Amino acid sequence: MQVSLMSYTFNQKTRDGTMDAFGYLETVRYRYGLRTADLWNRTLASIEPDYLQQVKQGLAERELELVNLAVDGAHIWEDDPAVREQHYQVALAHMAATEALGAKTLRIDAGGGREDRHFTDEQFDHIVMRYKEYARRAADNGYRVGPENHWGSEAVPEEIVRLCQAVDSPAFGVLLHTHRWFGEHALQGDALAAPWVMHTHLTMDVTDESLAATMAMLREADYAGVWGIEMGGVSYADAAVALARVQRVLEGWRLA
Amino acid sequence: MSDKVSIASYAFHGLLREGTIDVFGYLESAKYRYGVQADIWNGMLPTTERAFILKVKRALDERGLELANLCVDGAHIWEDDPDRREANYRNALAALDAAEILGAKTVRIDAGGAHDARAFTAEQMDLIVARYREWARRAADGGYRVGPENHWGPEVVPENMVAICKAVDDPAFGVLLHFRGDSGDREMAPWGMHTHLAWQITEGPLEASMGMLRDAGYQGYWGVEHHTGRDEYTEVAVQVARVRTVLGRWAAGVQG
Repeated sequence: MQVSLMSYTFNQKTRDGTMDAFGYLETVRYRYGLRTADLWNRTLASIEPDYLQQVKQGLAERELELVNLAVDGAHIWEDDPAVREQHYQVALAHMAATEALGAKTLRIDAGGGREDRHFTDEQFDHIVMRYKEYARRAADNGYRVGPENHWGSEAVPEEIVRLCQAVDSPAFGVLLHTHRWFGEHALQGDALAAPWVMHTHLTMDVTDESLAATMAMLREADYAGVWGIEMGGVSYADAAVALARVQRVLEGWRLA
Repeated sequence: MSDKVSIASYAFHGLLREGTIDVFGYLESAKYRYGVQADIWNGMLPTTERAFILKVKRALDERGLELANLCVDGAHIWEDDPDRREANYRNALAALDAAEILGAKTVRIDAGGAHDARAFTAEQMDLIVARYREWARRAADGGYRVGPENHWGPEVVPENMVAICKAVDDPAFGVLLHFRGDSGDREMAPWGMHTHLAWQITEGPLEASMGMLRDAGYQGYWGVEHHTGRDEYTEVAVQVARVRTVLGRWAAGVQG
């Protein structure tokens, strides 16, 4: 199974102007020898069609598969209806970007308050309605869409499970950020979400044993996606260590 | 790769123009796609401000790259207009500052004159020689070499280049030999400090050209340069492979 390295891992380099989207593609392909790209939307300079066409060419020239586009700034629920509508338009624009780039999965967050730990009925109904809409479009275009257990209520296992059951579409899924849960069942969050996982952001701030156990749990749950790694602001060398740790787990499976 | 091959970043000017490569992406390509040393055209440096140049230096160091050459446009010595001459002189000094921060092994600054001229006037020659002597002293102190490239104006006439070389007469002065595959290459060979191997050479008299320079005692890098602005990653790969074929034959004791 393949491994990917999410571009947010190098957010510091993007911020200081030493890595743009094309440099990122060159890094994953040639420095790390990956065949996957895993993009944070803010690594992209824009989502204008001409620019996306260049990125698409950049992926194709390097024979890279875009395994996920993780979008910030498009979460579904905002209390202010005008901001909510604005986010909806941003989400639609990024679905178009996903389709232009041929991404396999798309993360759009559910939203709500950052410190919330439960969706209100009004929030929940609207969020489910939107994800159903997005999932229909994703199904038509051959990809999956859904939230990440990232912040707010979506980082509570019961809320993600409730959401997945309500949306109930094979084109809907969860971007699992491992070990990043809140609430009473935080420790069981990875396992509770496992049936719906479409992509991962593996947390690397864990022991080798914990990393291997999480990956094995997902494999047992029939996870068939790419093993995506996300860190923040790390060095090239630290990213290489993370890749090697994940690849060691996969190699262990191969040899078992 | 331990061979002394570099790729002039001008080879990717088409990608630069369309915005799909910058100097940091170029360094990633040089190191990890091609396994060659860095060879930077200043057109890829948006500024020579110290803070930016230090970023490039850190990027070279992080990748363990040597900077075989800094190729400077816009700093040629002779301009008929004294103000433009002075502006170019300032550009040259700023480029030398950058070269010293970057640890460039060689710096190319052109002699100048009219693009269609084929001889230097005595006035031009006096200033050109004076400047190169001044810069050669500075380069000697900094442990690098500086000089022109036979690529436009009177520089393309081998006798003019030889006359400059003899007049400057300094081991820290040299010629960036842009191979033409004619007798002029041999005339300039004793002063060769760096090379440009364009497509017509790598697909033509490559081994004879390289062998002639090697036999003249050349110890520098074999710099691949590409000019079409199209299909640059793949075209450059062909050129690099051609150069490595020659180096491989030499390493195996096969003489061309």
